[in-house]
Amino acid sequence: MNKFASRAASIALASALAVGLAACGSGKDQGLGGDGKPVTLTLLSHYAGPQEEKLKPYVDMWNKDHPDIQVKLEPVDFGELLKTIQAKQTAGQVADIMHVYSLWGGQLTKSKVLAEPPADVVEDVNKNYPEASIKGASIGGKVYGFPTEVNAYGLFYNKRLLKEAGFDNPPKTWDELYDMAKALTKKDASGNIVQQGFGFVRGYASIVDQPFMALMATAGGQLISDDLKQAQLDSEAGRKTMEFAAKFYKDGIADVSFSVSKTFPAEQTAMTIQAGWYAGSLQGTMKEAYANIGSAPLPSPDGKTQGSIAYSWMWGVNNKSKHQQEAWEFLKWFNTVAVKDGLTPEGAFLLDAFNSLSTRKSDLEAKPSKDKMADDAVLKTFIDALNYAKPEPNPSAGAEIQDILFKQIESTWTGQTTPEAAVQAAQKDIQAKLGAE
Amino acid sequence: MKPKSFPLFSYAFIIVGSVMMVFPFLEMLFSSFKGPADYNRLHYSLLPEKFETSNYAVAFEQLQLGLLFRNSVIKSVATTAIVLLTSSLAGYALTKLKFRGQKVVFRFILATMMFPAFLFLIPNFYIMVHFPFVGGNNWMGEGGDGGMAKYMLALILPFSVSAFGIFLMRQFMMTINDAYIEAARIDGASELRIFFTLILPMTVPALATLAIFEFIGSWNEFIWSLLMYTVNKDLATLPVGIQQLKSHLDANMTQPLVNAALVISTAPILIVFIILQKYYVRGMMNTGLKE
Amino acid sequence: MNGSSKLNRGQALLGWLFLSPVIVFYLIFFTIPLLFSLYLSFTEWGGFDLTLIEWVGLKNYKALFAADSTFLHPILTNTFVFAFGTVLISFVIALAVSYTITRLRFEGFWRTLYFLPTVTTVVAVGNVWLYLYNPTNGLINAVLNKLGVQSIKFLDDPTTALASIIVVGGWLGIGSSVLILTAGLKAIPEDYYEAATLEGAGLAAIYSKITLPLLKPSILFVLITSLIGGLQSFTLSLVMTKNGGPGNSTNVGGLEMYNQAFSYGNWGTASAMAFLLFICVFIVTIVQLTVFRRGGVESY
Repeated sequence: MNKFASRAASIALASALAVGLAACGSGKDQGLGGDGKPVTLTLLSHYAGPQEEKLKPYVDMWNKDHPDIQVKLEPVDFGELLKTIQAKQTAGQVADIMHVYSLWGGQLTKSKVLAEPPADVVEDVNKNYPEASIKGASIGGKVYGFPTEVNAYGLFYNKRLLKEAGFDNPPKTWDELYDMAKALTKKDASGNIVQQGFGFVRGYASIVDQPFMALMATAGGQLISDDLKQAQLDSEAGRKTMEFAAKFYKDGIADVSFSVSKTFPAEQTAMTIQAGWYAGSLQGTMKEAYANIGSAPLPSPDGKTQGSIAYSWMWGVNNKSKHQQEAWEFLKWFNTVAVKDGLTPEGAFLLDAFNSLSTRKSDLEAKPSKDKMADDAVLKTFIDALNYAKPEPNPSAGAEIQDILFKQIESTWTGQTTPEAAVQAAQKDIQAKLGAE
Repeated sequence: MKPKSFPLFSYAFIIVGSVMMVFPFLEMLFSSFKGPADYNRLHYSLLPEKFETSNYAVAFEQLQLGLLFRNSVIKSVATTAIVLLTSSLAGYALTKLKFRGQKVVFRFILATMMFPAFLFLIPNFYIMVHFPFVGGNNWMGEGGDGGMAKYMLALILPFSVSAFGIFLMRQFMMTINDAYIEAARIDGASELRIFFTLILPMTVPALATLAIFEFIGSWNEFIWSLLMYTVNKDLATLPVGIQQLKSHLDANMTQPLVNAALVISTAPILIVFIILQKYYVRGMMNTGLKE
Repeated sequence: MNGSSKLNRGQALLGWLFLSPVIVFYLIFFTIPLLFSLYLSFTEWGGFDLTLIEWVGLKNYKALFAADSTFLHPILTNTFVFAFGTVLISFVIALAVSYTITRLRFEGFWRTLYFLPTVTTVVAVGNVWLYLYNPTNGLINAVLNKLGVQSIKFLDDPTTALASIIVVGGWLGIGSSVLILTAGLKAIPEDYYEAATLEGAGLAAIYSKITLPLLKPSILFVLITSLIGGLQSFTLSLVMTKNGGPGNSTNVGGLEMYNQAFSYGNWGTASAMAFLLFICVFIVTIVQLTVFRRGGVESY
């Protein structure tokens, strides 16, 4: 019954479209090029306000040189971006170019929202980006666009606080992390923490899950198998990580209500795990005190394994766009052509707007990037991490799985469940979601 | 006279209560004058360390206040007016006119309130966008680029009938003495005249109450407005605009700014409430929601 | 009722005429969407493309009742606790407040103050309370600490999170209930009170034998509308605890269905949840109506 209905709907739609096109003449989406009329592409992203202002000059650069293909920016609040893509798609308003978070990739391809790129784009991505970025811009093994913001996780620590407690170097092993955190945690007379040795950032699913998965990587494991079919939380690495993370809260070294986001810049939390972009944010909030901040690769159980997680964003083209060829033209220019000091527009934009670096090899070689890395030692850790970081897995039920894991992890921190029970529950639920595809 | 029940105790109770009512609003008001560092300080303080009006300046600058205000006002006034009309017409029909099927209709209307609004979001969205003959759509609702969503009407139509309003007006009209109506009928007045010149004036307190709820509800409505906004930027209302001010990375940094915008947005409805309250009170003396 | 059938026919015609906008509205914006959503609840849909809807029969409903589903518990139980909790708080306080302020001067002023929370958006309210509840530097803990009580984690603690939100929800509902209840109170004729006082009736007797019974219709109105609202509410939970709080302790039906649809793309599941929620609301309302009918409040 359903197939009939949808076929009837498609026939009706097709005929209506035909009539509409004929009757309505010049719509806002002009013909398929070729007749001289300019094509206007809509670029949907969460770059709004000051970020949009940094993006605009590069888009204008293109628009000036390409009167036949004009790009229009459409900024949307990040929290609404996925919903907006959904709503517009349902309303038949097609955003030609979209900036999407790779975790949504599974959901988007299931609903056939992303178009497969032409072969030269795929080749370019494979050749010019590190492994983590390529995987980040891929869904189900296929590249679907250009990787943009790729952020890996590492350890942030306060050099001054560590020195005061007698530590010259950041921890290299999990045991060291634990012992140092214990030594650094200070409490007042009523038992409230006034200085937290180590804490995890809380607030929403990804910020809790990603550091967890990064730690799991240092233990040699991953949440989901590469083919996205097997949940591997109940591996030894997963169990160890869950227990280790909960230990800080169980033993009173960290407190869920001692907000890391507030107290780390205020120099009351000594160590935490965050992503590369955090460096820029800290610089802005801490000003001179930023000199106290250092970064290091994540400690691992054996002190030798390097592990991290990288999450990414990517530029993709809408499957329903009537101007896919033109859209890819723009994206190719934006992501591969050097326009400023050897940087591509994407590279230049990331530097301008976020003080962070694009992961494209040519961008990393460009002078501004090299200067930045020389300037900011903290950033270097995260650039290096990209070489060994695993990409955040993005199965179709990605967002749901993220929430499942998030809830279980937090339950171990609030003491509601034991790490073992949390692992079992999450493993079961995640496997169920993976299997349902 | 009314029993003078421990007036002092009553005043104390009310005052303590009102402090608790008002406090969060004061917190919002005062923190709109704080900078982000002040707001995030480790020790709580109501008053800002340094009074900063920069948040208001930024809010005015970043929000397209003109557009937002205009849209919110048009939408709220229109919705309220339409709801007042449809609710009183329906309320009257369900109480003072007698015909078969009355009770069923009322029960149906009551039942509509019980469905989660979520169920109507996407279907109504689709209906709006593919409304026939509007916004470039043909008779099948296809072909245009937004349908009804290109017009302010998209924000108003889905809210033009309110079960709550009908419920309220019905309750109120039940208390109006039939004798008035019968007298008017005997005098030969037409039904329409009876409704507009006799009944409506008697229901002013209920209308005022309903207007208060409707106006505020419409002014603050967010989810549907957001949905319409995604397909037509010109339909932005205040709640939608204010949402854009929040930083998703760290809401605490932008909260004072958002609060400033919220204060700006709240001021008009406060005024509306104070004005409408007069009508609400004046008529409450003799009539009201009673059996 | 007047006898002549011509008048009756005229009334019926007029009645339907007056009701016509309402009927047309419900046809377009209610019935059609409802049928579509009902259909959706038997399907799986990602939310982007209408041609990709896939029929799955009772699968969504079965999943909600399955042993490991969180829907019945804690989500539905949270929903009920939240709704009844907030209505209890707001109703009891509103009753006391309405009664008191109708006996004081500056009644309009007090009423405005009590209505202030309702005037500010739920989003604003949620954020302010979030700030007040902050375990590190919120006002409430600051006051508690001064009194020598240890800080409470409020929204970070699964055992206190729901209660914390209920307080806010109750606080929010007071204003509108006060508005309706003061109207009802003012409708009670003074003579009743005078007669009672003359006969020497005490306050308690007056309140229980005169005020409460005559206030019943308003009370019913307030209870029905606030419970319907409370059971469907989710904005507060969304603003204050985004993902359903620590250990799902503040996840309510409305929030879960919203997330299922907009965050996970499970529109079929979300629709099924919505219908189950409707059934709960329906049952609760019918119970109220029956109870009140027994108590003499008619005409529903």
